[in-house]
Amino acid sequence: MLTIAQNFTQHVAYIDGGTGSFLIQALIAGVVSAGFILKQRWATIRTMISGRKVGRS
Amino acid sequence: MSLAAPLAGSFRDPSGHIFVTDGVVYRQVSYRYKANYDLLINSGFYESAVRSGLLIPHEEVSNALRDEDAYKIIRPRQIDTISYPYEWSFSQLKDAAILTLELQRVALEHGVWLKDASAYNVQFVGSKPIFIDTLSFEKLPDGQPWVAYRQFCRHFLAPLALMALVDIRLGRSLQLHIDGIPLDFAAGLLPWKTKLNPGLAMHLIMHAKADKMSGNAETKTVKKHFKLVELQALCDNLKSTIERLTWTPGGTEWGNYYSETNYSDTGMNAKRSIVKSMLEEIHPKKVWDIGANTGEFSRLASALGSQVVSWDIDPAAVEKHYLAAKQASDELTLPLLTDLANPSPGIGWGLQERDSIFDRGSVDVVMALALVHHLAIGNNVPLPKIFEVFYQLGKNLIIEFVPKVDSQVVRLLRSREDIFTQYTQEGFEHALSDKFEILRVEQVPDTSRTLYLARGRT
Repeated sequence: MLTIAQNFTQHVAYIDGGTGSFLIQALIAGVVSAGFILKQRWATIRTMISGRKVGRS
Repeated sequence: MSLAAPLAGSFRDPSGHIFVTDGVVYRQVSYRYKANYDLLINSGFYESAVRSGLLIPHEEVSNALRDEDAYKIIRPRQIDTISYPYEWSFSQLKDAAILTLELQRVALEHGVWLKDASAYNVQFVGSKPIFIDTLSFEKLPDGQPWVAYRQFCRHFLAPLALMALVDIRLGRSLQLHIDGIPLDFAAGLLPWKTKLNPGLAMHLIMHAKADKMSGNAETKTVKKHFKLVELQALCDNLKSTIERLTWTPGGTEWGNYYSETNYSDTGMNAKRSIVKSMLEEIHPKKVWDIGANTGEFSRLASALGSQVVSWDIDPAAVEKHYLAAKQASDELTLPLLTDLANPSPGIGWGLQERDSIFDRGSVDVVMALALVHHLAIGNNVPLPKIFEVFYQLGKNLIIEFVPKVDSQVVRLLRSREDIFTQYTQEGFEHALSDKFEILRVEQVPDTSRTLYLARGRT
């Protein structure tokens, strides 16, 4: 038996987002979020470092 | 402005519709969409998306139609030629996908999101993709998953994966599935190694399974509040999955045509010079270059300032042409994957939701260079029928006659009976003259070929 996330569909949309699609998004979001946050922080650090280098030169 | 009905393909979204008056495209914004339209403008999202070249700019105009349901009437920047995803090369579809995700990223930063992610919402200004549906955005709902995620996967990810990993020609299956390729269909065609690609395994294979299982599921409430960062992560992962999909053109029908053709340098230079002078004689605003290959002669037209749509049946040729046009930031030339022997038909509701390619003409000049022998001999189309179609497509015609002594025709006839008794220069001119007035005839030096400039009879 599959349990689906009924409360996701409360948002009124003119296209059918698909219950299975909502469920898989919850799973994928959980998997990829940590990596995304690390990627963003790394990008911020790199920007700060390159900013300092530009400042020195 | 006189009363105008919505365009036949503009009915799915109740937020508004497209209509055309005096040849100008307008968009009606209904009162239903008022709050979202105001947010679009006041949040700074519209300005940011337009400034970045992602979203089509528009101006608000007066409601001269006195449409009581209209909150606003907007006049977007006009698109020269509407094209559809099944007519795009691999990189055109990929660039449209990345544009859609980039727009979603900018939207999320401004507290809005894409409420649909149809590939038909992207159009090309020459080689530059742009999002045209101004009403596709709405206030970011609190804690919800992306409502357009499945549509995005069906319209972009599934066809791109099939084109890259199975067969480039599967892109054309978008014509059969107007709301994108069903995920279970794509998952069934993809090779087993797809499961080793985490992005495709999640967004396509598992997604298809979840979709199928949910149809039989027992409904039960589960608490899950989507954070903004989770939506951003989902879209970022989709983007990197798509960026990693590649297809290298080569090894197909016309990919090396110009390097393998029997034209000498003298012949090719002379042909360029003659075609250029014929184009200069007409000064066309719009040109359709049919059988354009990688756009050698389309560039002559765009260099004169003409809007050019370059048709070819070979995915490799269209891909190479698009990549070259993109590198040159060419906003006048639109390469499309289209077969004159089986052109894009009208599809969708009432066969009118997406126009046939013929309904997106006619143009000032049709160019048909090194093409007629493929139609007459390769496809058995009688010469009068060929000229009937050219007459329908354009006011003027620049066409090359390739005689039976030419090595390309010899190759076509090598393994078949020559039943083409009418295929002579005399027969060609006779059939051409029925629909067109011949203005110029030029023998191409160092070849057996002849170029004609002709004007459609009125």
